[in-house]
Amino acid sequence: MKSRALLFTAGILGLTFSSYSTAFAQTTTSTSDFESRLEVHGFASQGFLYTPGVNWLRDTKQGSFNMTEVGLNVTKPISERFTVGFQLFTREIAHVGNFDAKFDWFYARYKFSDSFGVQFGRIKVPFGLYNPFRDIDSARLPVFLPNSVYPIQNRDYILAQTGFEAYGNVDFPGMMGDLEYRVYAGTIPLRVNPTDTVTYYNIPYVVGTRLLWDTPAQGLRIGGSLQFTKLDTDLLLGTPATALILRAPVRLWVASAEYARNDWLLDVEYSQWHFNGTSTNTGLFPNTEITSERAYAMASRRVNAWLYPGIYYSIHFRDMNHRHTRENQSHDLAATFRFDINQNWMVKLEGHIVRGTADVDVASNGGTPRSQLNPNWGIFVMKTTAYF
Amino acid sequence: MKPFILILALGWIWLGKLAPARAEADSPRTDVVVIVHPRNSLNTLDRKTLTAIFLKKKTQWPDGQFILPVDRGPRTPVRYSFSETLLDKTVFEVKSYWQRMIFSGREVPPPELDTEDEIISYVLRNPGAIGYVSTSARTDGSKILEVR
Repeated sequence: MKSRALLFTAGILGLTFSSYSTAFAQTTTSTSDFESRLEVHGFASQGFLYTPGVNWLRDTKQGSFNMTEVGLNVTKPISERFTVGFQLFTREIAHVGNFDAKFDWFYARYKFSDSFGVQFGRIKVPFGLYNPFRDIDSARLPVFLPNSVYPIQNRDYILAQTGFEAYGNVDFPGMMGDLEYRVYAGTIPLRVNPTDTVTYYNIPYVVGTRLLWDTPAQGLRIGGSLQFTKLDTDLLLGTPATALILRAPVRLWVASAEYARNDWLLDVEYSQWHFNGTSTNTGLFPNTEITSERAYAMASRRVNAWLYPGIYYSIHFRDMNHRHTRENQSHDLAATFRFDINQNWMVKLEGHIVRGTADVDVASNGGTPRSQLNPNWGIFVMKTTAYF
Repeated sequence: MKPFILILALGWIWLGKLAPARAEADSPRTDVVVIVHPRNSLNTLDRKTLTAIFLKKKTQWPDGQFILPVDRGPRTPVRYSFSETLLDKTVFEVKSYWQRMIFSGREVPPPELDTEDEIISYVLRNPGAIGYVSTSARTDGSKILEVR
């Protein structure tokens, strides 16, 4: 019922704002053009997800219309240097999200100069090329970004941090291009309800940086992202239930390259995530040090005003030192067609052929281990989004 | 599933080879001039700086005045011409850039105005403003910048 109501809303938004988008998006009422401008933007999406072979997420093997997202953001410049804003977001994708409305981001930002500014609040984490807008269907081509580098299951751990960020754009002299930098520190507050097994969960800190270099070669950007964080978990395991503490520093990095020219867009990213968990009871939960390897290459081309297709190939090894078993790898070949009905409404069709179960959720498959799940499966998704 | 994916991939390759090289190749074009407030001290501007201004990566003139860029509507010939000949980016590339900025909370786009008279009025009203109009427009006291 909720999905159908939101689908109706998405359709009404698409039809309404296709005609009145400018009036809703910007309100300027006086001759003082800067101070009076309030920006309001939003989007609503509805989709259908089908994953033959396995439940990639809950109940997706049979097909699911539980694929709805709604967001609304407001930005207000208080002065030329000081801006505040927020975005409300809610979603349900195969029972992930549960339509919990939350502040996707909110911030107070002060810009000292083009090369230095600061912001405080809940801020999208600059990791890779796409993390800051991984939830924004209108800002990218694929419905699902490569799950190797942008895993849907780990979204809450990497989407945004609550804290501080310094940022800026440094223009190199001559013809050396310019460099965008972002440095952040904060925490990731998670609402995790205690269970019989997990009695405490916390991310005490997250620090990181991203550098993106607009090179002298027209259309070529090269970048790197690095993040350090820590997972603190208290567990009850064994019979009788015994408490243990697990502390796990985590290091993530990704190298990125993007080439955009003449309606073509080519992206390549390579990433490693290093997890080093130490346990107070190694008999129940052994110390674990593991590095996963993740990469993708994507090509897309804007064919005309209404058609935008693309493909990508993504690989993921849960343990780069043990690559050969089905449960430790995922090879994903995907193709997407985006149809822009008008400036405020689009439809996407996407299909994936996947080999390996590294990215499959065990709990969604009745607890069946990944080693016993079908290694060859697929994803088919149709999605429509209205935005302004 | 595999034949379906193969058909999608082949269809994409076919469309990529046969479609026009530029997505807006059939859109009408017109010559464009860049205009600023008459008190602006600049007479020339390079394309790299012009692009940085309209993507809001550069926000202040050399004298410290805040820059207020203003765009035409996205489906107008002058917008196509400005975007492709002076910014060297398609309108779609620029719109995609702004979608990312808006929905990640990074920045908001320049205002989009419907007519050349509104553009010229905006520029004359705001000392830091910069806009663009067709060469046939009456610039009415605004200053034309030479773009190198």
